[in-house]
Amino acid sequence: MNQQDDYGNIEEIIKEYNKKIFNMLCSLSGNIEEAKDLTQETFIKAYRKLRSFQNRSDIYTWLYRIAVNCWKNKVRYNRRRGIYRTISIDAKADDNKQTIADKIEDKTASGEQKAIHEDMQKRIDIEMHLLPPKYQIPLTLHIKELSYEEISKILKCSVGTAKSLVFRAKEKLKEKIMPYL
Amino acid sequence: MRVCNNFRKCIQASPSGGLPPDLKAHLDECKDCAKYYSATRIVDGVINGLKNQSEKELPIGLRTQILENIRIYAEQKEPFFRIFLNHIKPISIAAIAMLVIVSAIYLLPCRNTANARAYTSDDFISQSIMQAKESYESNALAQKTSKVLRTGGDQR
Repeated sequence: MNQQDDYGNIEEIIKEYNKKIFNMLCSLSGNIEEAKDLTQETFIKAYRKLRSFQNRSDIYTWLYRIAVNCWKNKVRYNRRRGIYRTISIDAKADDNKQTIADKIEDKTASGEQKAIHEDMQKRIDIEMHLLPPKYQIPLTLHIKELSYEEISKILKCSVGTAKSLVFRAKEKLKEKIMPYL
Repeated sequence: MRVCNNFRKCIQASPSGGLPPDLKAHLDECKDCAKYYSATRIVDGVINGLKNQSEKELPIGLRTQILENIRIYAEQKEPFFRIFLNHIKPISIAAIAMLVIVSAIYLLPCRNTANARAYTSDDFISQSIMQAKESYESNALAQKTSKVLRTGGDQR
């Protein structure tokens, strides 16, 4: 396989999977600009390692694994330099004044169920980004409708472990939102 | 607490389905379990909502940008250290193989070192005996010749 073939292959792969990889990275990082950079990094890495890819796994689980590792490296890099994700702080500061239960009491009368739902969704979204990567990755992959088997292949663990990680991630989210109910 | 745990397992198993009457009665009594039930319903609802969310469209130009970056990367000459890293696996395997072969060459005869040493020391002893014998013989011969010469001289 020469360089021309590699380029042709990667072009095909990008065409087929870039949207999925970008969306998954968007969900993980919560930031479109970061997701753009990570998508580029993922495909460059995939191009570099294309020759070492043996068809032992599906190409998309291989790509997802590269993408997840790129994101993990980025998180580690940011943490070392003291750069923390700032999604939650502002939203939390505003919302802490009133619990969700209060809001339900206030708003059900005015029929603003949708607003409450959106509010809750926003809060859970924030909490999801604050989960440790160990839980955030399997939960995001689960949300992206990957099967437990696929998640286990991406994370290189057993199906049972993948199930348990998703379950624990959900339990952690519940713990986080319970004080607001 | 064990009762609560049992009910919570029941909630996890069927968060959206109809609740059994005993669980309903427990939720009316236990505030924590009621909160847990609401949290489960909300989290599951949000996760299902996120699952059904349509995929974001790819930012314009991202695909061409990725391909361009790959093309630039492919045109770049690979730095020496990367070439080294790419070959580190075969190199390490070859190094280990060499080590095994060399050590086999050097170590295998060493199993007979005790014998070899014994052999050489025996050899040394026999050689020195031979040397001593030779020197003794040559000395004896020299003495004999000198004696013959002396006696011959006297006879003359």
